[in-house]
Amino acid sequence: MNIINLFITAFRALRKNGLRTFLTMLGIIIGVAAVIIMQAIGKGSEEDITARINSLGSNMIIIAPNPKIVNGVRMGQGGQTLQYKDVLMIKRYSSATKYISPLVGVSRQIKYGANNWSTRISGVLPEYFSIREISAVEGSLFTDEDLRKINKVCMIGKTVRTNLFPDGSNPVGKTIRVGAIPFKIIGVLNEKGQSGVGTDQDDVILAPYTSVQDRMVQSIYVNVIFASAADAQSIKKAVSEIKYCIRTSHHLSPSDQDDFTVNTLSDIMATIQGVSKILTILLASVAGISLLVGGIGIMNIMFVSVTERTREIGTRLAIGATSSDVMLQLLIEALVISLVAGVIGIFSGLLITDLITYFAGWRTSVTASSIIISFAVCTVIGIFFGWYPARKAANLSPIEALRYE
Amino acid sequence: MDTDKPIIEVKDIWKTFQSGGTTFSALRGIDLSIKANEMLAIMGASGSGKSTFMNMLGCLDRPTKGQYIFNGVDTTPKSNTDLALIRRDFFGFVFQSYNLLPRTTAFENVELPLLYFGFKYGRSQRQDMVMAALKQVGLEDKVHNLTNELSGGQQQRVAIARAIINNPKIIFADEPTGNLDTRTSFDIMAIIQGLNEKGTTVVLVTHENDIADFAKRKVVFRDGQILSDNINEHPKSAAEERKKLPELIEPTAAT
Repeated sequence: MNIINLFITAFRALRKNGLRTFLTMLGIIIGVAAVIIMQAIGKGSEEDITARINSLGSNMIIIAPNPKIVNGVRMGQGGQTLQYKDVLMIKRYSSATKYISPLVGVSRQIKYGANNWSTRISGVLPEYFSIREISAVEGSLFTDEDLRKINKVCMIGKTVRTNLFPDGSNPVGKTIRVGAIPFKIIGVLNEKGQSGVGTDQDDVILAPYTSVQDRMVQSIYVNVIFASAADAQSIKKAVSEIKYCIRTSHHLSPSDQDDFTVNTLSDIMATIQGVSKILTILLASVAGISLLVGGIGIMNIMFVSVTERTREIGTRLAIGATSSDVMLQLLIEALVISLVAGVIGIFSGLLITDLITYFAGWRTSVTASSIIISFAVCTVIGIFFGWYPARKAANLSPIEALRYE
Repeated sequence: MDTDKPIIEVKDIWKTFQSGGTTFSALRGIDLSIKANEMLAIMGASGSGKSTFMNMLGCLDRPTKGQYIFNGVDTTPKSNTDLALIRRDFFGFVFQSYNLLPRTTAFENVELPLLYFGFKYGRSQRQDMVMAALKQVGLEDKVHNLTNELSGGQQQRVAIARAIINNPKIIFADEPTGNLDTRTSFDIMAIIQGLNEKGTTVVLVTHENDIADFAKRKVVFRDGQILSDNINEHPKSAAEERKKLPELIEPTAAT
């Protein structure tokens, strides 16, 4: 029998048992769709996390003070070890560090007219805008001159804006009170969304470092220092230079421990991506199990089908079908079932993925590999689980098959 | 074809079944030769070995011992695939229970053997052959009916059309009228006689004498051996016998 006739025969046999064929396919359809959906959700969340971390600023290095130990008592987070002089030191001696800015922040009640809102005001250098990829969507950013003159100017994030200006009026040029001190709004910051760890990056007020430092904090210590390396390759070098600079600045002897911690985004990203990769694998394996169950379903049905069609197989043998004709026919039936089901499964998987994105708002990402893999798995399932029943049928003796009741 | 040369030659055929430690011989040393264009009826009570013998002749089964020469070729050492090809190229089968594929049209059933010929017959050629075969059995108006929509006689006619589609040398008919009423039986036998008149050799298995009367030669089996082998000098014509039967107002279909 030629291959075209084999397919004709297989299609006819499957069409005759439409409902049974469909029920058999259902297992594979669900399995394939599940693999694609789960993989899309897992991959989507991974990309989402990556994007959110990237929104913090690329090549960013965060230097945080370590808690001081006073007489053996650790003083808790937010220790005071970093100073502006450390920033100057790094600026002068670290060649791999491109931008650097300290950050001092205080929480204050912010007032404008009848509205008020509690948030942090952070004092930074203009270089901070480059590190965090900050720009002004309205108005402008403050300048070195504002810094030098200790101007009482600030930029506000979107969350602050909506809370202080619920009527949507343009805040640029308005003067708000930060605690008791009036600050003139000169710009609105671009939206950054939630950070990878869930804090609202738009609930901020940025002001010149000097203004916050001199007028509000009145301390020589800074909360944290942000820096960025020139590119991804020089992050490592920048980190070691920064460590060296701060240790020198803090007069630490080689036996002393660092009184600060240097973190890079790539560390954080690697950790979180590792977790979400495991999640993706987990989801995909659960879906893979359902695909396997679908395959076993095909085998069951093919077995039932061989038994039920014993007389038919006998007839085919009698009219001149060879064992390999019968075997190929059943194998192709199994293959057709799994491939057709695979295609339906892929399309329903894509459709449901879109629906999830549309209705639940989850970020999803279908990869070509998940489609190729599930299609390949379908083929393998078809051949693997179709093989045994097909061989059973092919080995039937025509006489016994014809007599079968 | 040289009609004197036997198309089938069977030499000392034995068929032994083993079951539960006991052996049972269904065929005990059969010798028989069948010439081309014969119409042979194999008769006998159930268990006499007539069906086993026919299966052997049809290459559906192999003898335990002995030699079966078909068309001058010894089939005994042939592989299963070779036997399948002999069945495909030279034989047509008609069974008592029709053995049509369920939920399949008459057309598709008749077309089935052609599909096993590889690329030999194209789509339109198959179409022509199937239509010709169905016309020959008088079912040209039932081409696209599903087989379960047909009466028993019509189903058997589809089976005959399927058996002749490959233009076989021999038609093996195992109790072809066993499930049919007398009228339909005679109709079917008339078709089979017609095929024989056109040159096809027919081997018919039956236990009914009035069916065997249509054959040119009667071989009677008993206990796995040939009891008698007689030429029927005056085979009846099924078409004539059919005319003698009183016509029913409303012919009922047997299933």
